[in-house]
Amino acid sequence: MISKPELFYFMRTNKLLCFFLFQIAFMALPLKSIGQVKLSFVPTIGGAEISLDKEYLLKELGKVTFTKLKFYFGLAGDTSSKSYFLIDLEKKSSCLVEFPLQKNSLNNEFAFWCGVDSFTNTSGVYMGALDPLNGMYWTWQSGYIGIKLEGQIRSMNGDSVSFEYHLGGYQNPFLVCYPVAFKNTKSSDLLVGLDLGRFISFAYQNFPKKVMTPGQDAYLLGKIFSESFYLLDNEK
Amino acid sequence: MKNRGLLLFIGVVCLMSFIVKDTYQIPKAWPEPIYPIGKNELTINKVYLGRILFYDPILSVNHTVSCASCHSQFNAFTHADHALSHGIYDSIGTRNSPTLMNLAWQPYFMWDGAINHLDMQALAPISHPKEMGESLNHVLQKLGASKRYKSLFYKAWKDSIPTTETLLKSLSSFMLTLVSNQSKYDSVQLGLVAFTDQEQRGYALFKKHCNSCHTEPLFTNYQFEANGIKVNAHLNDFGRYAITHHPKDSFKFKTPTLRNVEYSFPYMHDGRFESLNEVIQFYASSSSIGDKTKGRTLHLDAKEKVDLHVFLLTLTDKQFLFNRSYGYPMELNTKE
Ligand code: HEC
Ligand code: HEC
Repeated sequence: MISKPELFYFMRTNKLLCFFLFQIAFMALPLKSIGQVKLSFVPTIGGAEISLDKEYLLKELGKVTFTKLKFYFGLAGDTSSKSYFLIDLEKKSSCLVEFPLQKNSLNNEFAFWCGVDSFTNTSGVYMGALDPLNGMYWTWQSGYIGIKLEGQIRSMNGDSVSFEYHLGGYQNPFLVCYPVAFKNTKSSDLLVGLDLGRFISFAYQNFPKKVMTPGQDAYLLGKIFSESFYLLDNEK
Repeated sequence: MKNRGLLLFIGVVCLMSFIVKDTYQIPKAWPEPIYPIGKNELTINKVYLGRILFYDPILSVNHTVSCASCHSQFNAFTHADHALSHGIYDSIGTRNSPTLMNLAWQPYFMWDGAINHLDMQALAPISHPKEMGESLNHVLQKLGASKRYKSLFYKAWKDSIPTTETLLKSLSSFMLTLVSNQSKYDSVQLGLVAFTDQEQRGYALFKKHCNSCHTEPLFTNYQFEANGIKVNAHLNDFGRYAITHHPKDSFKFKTPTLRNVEYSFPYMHDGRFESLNEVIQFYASSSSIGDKTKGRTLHLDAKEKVDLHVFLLTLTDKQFLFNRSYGYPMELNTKE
């Protein structure tokens, strides 16, 4: 350990260095968190939780099976790669995310993004949740697939049709990156439902069964998907 | 507090400019590069690793095709033997491979700008079923299992296990070194030599008719343009439209650079023209866009065509085409 006089001596002789060190400490200060938020995503049909590879009744359409659900969840107001999580229903643990509560979300308002913002989409290679290895990056053109939903619907008369929605796009006017906000959240322990029943009924009846490139369809479907999040009542 | 922040910011910027200066030479009178070199500082080891990767067919599923198969140095890193690209199992793609040079200045890649960052470029050929037919995951596994690459990755990145980031940034590092700025044209600009009369006349014609799209000093404006070539009915390639879905972008393609154009045949996105003569013939024909600014077809008499051709030859950079440090690395001849 160094003694106090030694420290002062060091500071006197290395004024510039100390100045920079203090600067860095100052800049880091406001980023300090004020608590942790725990958020679980729960995909639902008719309010009941669902899982992959099981059949569920969808009122007028028949029976639906989801084989894949993956999407990006980003912390609003922040474009650094650290603020992205990849939710993958195949990996249960990824459906629970924890992050520090940011200053601007103090007034019981909580906001995130669904999809990947265009800055991140155009800034080269990232690791972690955004690693192209996760299968959420198009290769024949640049850009993240913000939302991936695959499965099939078996109609009442027995024939089954598969659907594949790979929704993304970073160029205006078809950017797929939507804000999702909840007001007056009572705790920092949130259960967020994702009404897949609503989404798939709408998508299936109004859109092609395969949407895999950026454009108008992906843009609209992404919007509907992002509107399917809701706060589950059983807030702890 | 605010001032200090500013000071710090200035300090950091100064520091970064040192790094860029030391590792990456920006030719005189050229604009600032677009590639964020501060985020991928070029080092000898990274560039060398990138070069080995570029020439190694290990990146393709059956170890037959490397990046260099379609981007060969002697053709300014395009390929000469086919109009359309030629990948694994002799499959033929739908576009002519572009030249690779001065990539740090390029804002987007591919004829239609589908790729927005040099680091992401290699993902496209690696996973294209008609090009290298691989998957990123499997490529990383193959590299991670190779003694040669373990040591190369360690030297370059202090980590012997390759990741998406280190793989892609190594390839970029090599490609960023492919700078062509030593043509006769460049020497003339620097005042070291002079054009012949014929070249000078060609240059004047060029500035008048071509420079709005093939803009000096990089000889491209990096915009998507339609130069008037007819749509190839077999390929039905909509160009930029496929990316933006905007009708105004139909049949527009990224203006290619004309540096080393003498060697980058065949020409255009589908390789439809074999020779520069054909290209000039086309531009002088009624179907070409002619002179963009004046909205009329361009009239070139026989002598002017030759003058223009002769000027284009001054863009040839032999130092670039035969630079040993861009070539096939002998290390790949030895067993690991
Ligand atoms: C089978 C042939 C083939 C292989 C193999 C190949 N490329 Fe290409 N490359 C092409 C074609 C064709 C294009 C243009 C494609 C388009 O515009 O759609 C291209 C485009 C590019 C571009 C963009 C250049 C520009 O000006 O827009 C870069 C950079 C590039 N390739 C690098 C690589 C690298 C690195 C590899 C190895 C990982 C590689 N290529 C492997 C054929 C190939
Ligand atoms: C309106 C913009 C525009 C003007 C003006 C223009 N070009 Fe081009 N040029 C292009 C575009 C775009 C391409 C690529 C077209 C394609 O592949 O579909 C191209 C391609 C070329 C190529 C082929 C390069 C390669 O590597 O494949 C050559 C050579 C060329 N132009 C020469 C010229 C000359 C010489 C002139 C002047 C007489 C000229 N251009 C004027 C836009 C332009």
